[in-house]
Amino acid sequence: MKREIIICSFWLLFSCYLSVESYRLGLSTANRPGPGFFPFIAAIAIGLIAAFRLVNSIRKSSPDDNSELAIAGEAKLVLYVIAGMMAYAFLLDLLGFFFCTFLLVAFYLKVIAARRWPATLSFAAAVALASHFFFDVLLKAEMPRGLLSWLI
Amino acid sequence: MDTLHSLAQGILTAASPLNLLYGFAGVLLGTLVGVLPGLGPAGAIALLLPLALHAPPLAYLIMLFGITYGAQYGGSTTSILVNIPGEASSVITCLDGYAMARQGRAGPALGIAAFGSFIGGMVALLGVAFLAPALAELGLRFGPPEYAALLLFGLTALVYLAHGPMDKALLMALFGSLLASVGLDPVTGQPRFTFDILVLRDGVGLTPVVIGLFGVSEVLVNLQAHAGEIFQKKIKGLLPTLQDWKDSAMPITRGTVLGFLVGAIPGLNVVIATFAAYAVEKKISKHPEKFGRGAIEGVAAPETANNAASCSGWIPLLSLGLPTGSVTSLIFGALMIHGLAPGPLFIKNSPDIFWGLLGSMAIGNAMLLILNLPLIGLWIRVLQVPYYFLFPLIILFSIIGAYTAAGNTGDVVIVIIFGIVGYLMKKFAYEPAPMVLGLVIGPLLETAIRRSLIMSKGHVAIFFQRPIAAFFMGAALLMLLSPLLTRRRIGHEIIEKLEEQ
Repeated sequence: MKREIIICSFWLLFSCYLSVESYRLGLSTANRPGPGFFPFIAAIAIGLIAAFRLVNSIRKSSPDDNSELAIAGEAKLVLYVIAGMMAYAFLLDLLGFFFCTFLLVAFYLKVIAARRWPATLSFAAAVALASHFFFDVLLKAEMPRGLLSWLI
Repeated sequence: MDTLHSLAQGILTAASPLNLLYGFAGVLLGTLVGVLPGLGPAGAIALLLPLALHAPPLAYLIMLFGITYGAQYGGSTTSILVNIPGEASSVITCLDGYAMARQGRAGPALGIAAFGSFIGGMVALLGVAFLAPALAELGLRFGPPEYAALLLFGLTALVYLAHGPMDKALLMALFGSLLASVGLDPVTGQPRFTFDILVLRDGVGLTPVVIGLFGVSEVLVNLQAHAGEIFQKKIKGLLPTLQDWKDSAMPITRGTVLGFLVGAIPGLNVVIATFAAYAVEKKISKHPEKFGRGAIEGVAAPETANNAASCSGWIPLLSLGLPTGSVTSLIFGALMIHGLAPGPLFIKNSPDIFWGLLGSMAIGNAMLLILNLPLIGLWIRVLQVPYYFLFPLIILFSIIGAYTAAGNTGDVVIVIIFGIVGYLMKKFAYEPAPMVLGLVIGPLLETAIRRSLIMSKGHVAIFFQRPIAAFFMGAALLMLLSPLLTRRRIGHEIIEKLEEQ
């Protein structure tokens, strides 16, 4: 139940913040609803549901209940995937589509899947080449070329 | 006769070389995602949404429709051969399908699943052709209050029939609606919740959100999953015997009717249709003890029902503009990207698209029947591809999809954020479908409510004074409030029991 209390508290804070922001946007009069009218109602409803769930969770929780979040075991793998994606997003313009794709696939295969170097590098190169051919050459998707713009 | 004539015209339209090519790509891709556990039709459609900008509308929609029913065919293959349902709608097929495969009858199981799906899909298609235009006629009488009430009803139905607690599903629907209000106000043009971030001025796009929710989050959840044991025996004799046909004829008929009815009701989905069809067959069978031990009826009925439901599920969307789940919400978004407003006027304003789509379903179902049986060997090989080779590709397509749709990395960041959100939602048992529906219909709902209130000079009673609006509002309120009075959701116990079975 500890987990549920944390989640409900998050929703409550989220609801409070958005209610205030919606109010600031302007609720207007009822016969001409303003920009804040609809989000205000939605935020208040979220707050009410979160409060209801929070009260229920507190009522049901026991003093020695100390359940942890169930994601701890795989958090490392998830972080690696996200880190790879973030790096890809921020390096795409600099390094270019081909190079970023190669690095991303190689990173995932080596770090997450623990493949040997030959398999990692050959698969990453194949994916980078195939993606370049499909998106850049065939679909003309205008992906960033970055460092390798002189080459491709 | 008009309907049949229009349907014939639709088939001719769908049979043009370009449409056939897109249709073929759709059913093939659909079967592939149906075979692969961990990426469903919603994920595949999400990844393909950016393509909408480059492809002709009808051809593109034909491909997306093909993915949805192709996935139903593909899901059954893995259920029967590997005991792993590629799709949730094929879970129940595992029981008797895999048992048949172990008895050396994988061929007839796969055959009857394919033929059943084909028959169910084609009959349901005729149902859609006759029912959708009639419903759309009714929808033409809708003004803003009726439309607002209908949208609220659709959203409430999905929340009411959600698997988990209703309040959690409602929370997600509201969260989706709130996300939809990011960007410029549809009436005054005032920026809302943009935090001076340029990417947010146009709102939180459906494409990056669903790519994150259905593509990236699936990878994050499945990272530690292991592949199942592949059924190694050689498959022969895909055509069912005469006795198999005799045993399956009535289950296919009942599965078609049940699947069609369940699929057409907003909130109910394909999965429920399959469980209901299986439960009915077991209940009326003279030999219920055979079920779970390789009864062909246990394959024929749910496999027919899932395709029939998958077809009839389009009725609320195409006739009234009411998406009823994740996949229909995504198709709704795809239609909007092409400037095609789904709603009562859709059939009248875009008859070539509507009938072309129905025609493509007829062709697609036939394509799947002809293609899939010989390709079963290929699908089994696809299943043997290790996940560590697949997930980098899914992530890569997610990033490329988001980037090419907007041409900047801002949408890639949104994909990452919603990948994490989707992962946490799965871990904490929050369903994504109500959130996506909230995001898709949020702007329409807001505009309809605000217009209604302007019409009535601020009187909420307008939603209860007009008969059609009052009907939908009454039904929505009943669904929302009944659990408070009865402490249970009508029909929900039946759904839970069916799923337990």
